[in-house]
Amino acid sequence: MNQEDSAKAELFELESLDVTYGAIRALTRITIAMEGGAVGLLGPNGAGKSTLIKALLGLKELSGGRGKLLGRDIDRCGREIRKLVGYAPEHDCHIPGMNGFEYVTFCGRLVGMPVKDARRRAHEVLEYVGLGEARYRPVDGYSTGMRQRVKLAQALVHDPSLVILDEPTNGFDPKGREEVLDLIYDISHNKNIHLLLSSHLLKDVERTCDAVILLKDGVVLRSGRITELKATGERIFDIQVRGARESLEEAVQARGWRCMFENSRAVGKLIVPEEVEIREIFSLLRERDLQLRALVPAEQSLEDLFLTSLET
Amino acid sequence: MPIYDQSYAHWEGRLEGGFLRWLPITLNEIKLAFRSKLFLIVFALSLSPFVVRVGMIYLYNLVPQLQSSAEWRAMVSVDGEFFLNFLVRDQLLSVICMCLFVGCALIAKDLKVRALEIYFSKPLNIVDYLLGKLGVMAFFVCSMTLFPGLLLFLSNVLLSEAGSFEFQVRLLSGIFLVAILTTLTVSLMVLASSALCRSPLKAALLWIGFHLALVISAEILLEIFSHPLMGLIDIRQSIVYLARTIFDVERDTYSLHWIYPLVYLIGLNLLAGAILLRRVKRVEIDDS
Repeated sequence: MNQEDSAKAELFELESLDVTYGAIRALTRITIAMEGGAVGLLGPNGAGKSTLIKALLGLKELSGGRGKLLGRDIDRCGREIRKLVGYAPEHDCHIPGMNGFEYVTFCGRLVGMPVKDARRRAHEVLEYVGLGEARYRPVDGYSTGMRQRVKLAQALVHDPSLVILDEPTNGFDPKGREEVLDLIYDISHNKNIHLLLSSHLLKDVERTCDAVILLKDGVVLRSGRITELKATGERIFDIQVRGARESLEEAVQARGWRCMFENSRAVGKLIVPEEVEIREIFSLLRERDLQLRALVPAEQSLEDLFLTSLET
Repeated sequence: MPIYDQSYAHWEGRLEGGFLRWLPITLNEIKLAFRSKLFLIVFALSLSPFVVRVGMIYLYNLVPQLQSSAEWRAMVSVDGEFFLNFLVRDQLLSVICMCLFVGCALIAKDLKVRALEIYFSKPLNIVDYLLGKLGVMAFFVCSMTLFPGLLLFLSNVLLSEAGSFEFQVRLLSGIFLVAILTTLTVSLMVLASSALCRSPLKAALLWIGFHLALVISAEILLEIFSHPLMGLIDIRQSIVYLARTIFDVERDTYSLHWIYPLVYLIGLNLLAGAILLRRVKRVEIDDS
């Protein structure tokens, strides 16, 4: 298998990866392998998402372990990796003093594109991200949404094998957000470009990604294809009861099932093993003298998966 | 029509790279600087001492009557003293203008808008980034020192009787050495100031303040200790001192070995380099 083939087979593989900032451990013994395609990176603030991205780009010195991105060693081939990757950071950042076209052309030049090609590609990708009309306006005067688009354009200008997007829908109005999510889906599913999307918006990840990595406190909680992660051998119901909710929680725990209620409300989710029949739920409620208001079968969402992973 | 339908074509070209990967940064900043009309005027005016000197050489060689004037002969006598005055006195204000109009903003404006994240997501490292910025300062300071110095040298060689070959070689290497010394010192100092602030204005004030503090300190210490070493605290004085040695121009009342100003300037440049590396690296860590 040559290097290109191996790049297609594995997006990245990390083995006992450690990253520290002084005494603080940002990533702890991360061992994970992801195939190509669209991968979502989920986790609460401070989980280590941005640090993981920087480690993958070869921008952070590893304290331990090793890893490969697109077949290249992340500890030694940072430059090589960054030629293959387009990265749109989370923060509002740009290079000042230029219009959109000049900015994207300049980013192409920084990667090493010849001037002519960089100019041609800048026009193409700006058109693609929906900034065709605004390409000659100064980037300093762009709205937040436009800046997100131009960040995406600069990440795409050199036609990378992998695009890493850190919170790419921040600052968009609902219509713009839809457009950009369509665009991100198109990049990863129709243009043969791998995607690593870091976001705290679970719906964005669910809509655009096929696989997901859940991070918390620098540790991987779950990872894999979303469909496989969702197939947990459990059934989920949206449940609403009248009566002492605590009593239901006790009974559910006693049977080894799980339930999650939103704050103090009596509306929540009931998670039971697949073999449990509905009549067992009814009898449980009868035993506890609880009045059932609603019991609706629900599909496991990424949010459920995320919340249960965080709880466990 | 949804925006993603507007086609995305793959690019089949080859990426360039190698040791010149910092060059696009330099070229881009130079282009951006010349876009300002005010800067264009300042740049043109900054070259006026050079234009006057060339004009004088030309007139002197064109008009025979001027050649008999001792005053004119002294003014256009192209020797070490001539270039010493031109490089470190006449062009001083021009170099300061370049620092204030271009240098102070170079890193500060990038810090202000977090541009470093964009730079370092490309196949560049801190050294490439700093070389790119240093290249900008080198271009503008050399535009005020090295390039006009070389043109003056050429004008003299072409228009008037040149001295011995050995003398010309010494002059030429002197121009190179003094211009490079000035460029490196000024550029590193101004970039270090720029890296310490997120506002170009604050960076300019810091740079001016630092130089004024050195000049005043040198004066005070010279007054107290009456030792020539104290005068060298002033960066310009150190450069002048070294330039006198390089051009073999008679020194003033103080006699001091040239190694002292050289060590001082190398120390300052190393300090500025360390500040630059530390600041840029620190910002990269803070932003994550």
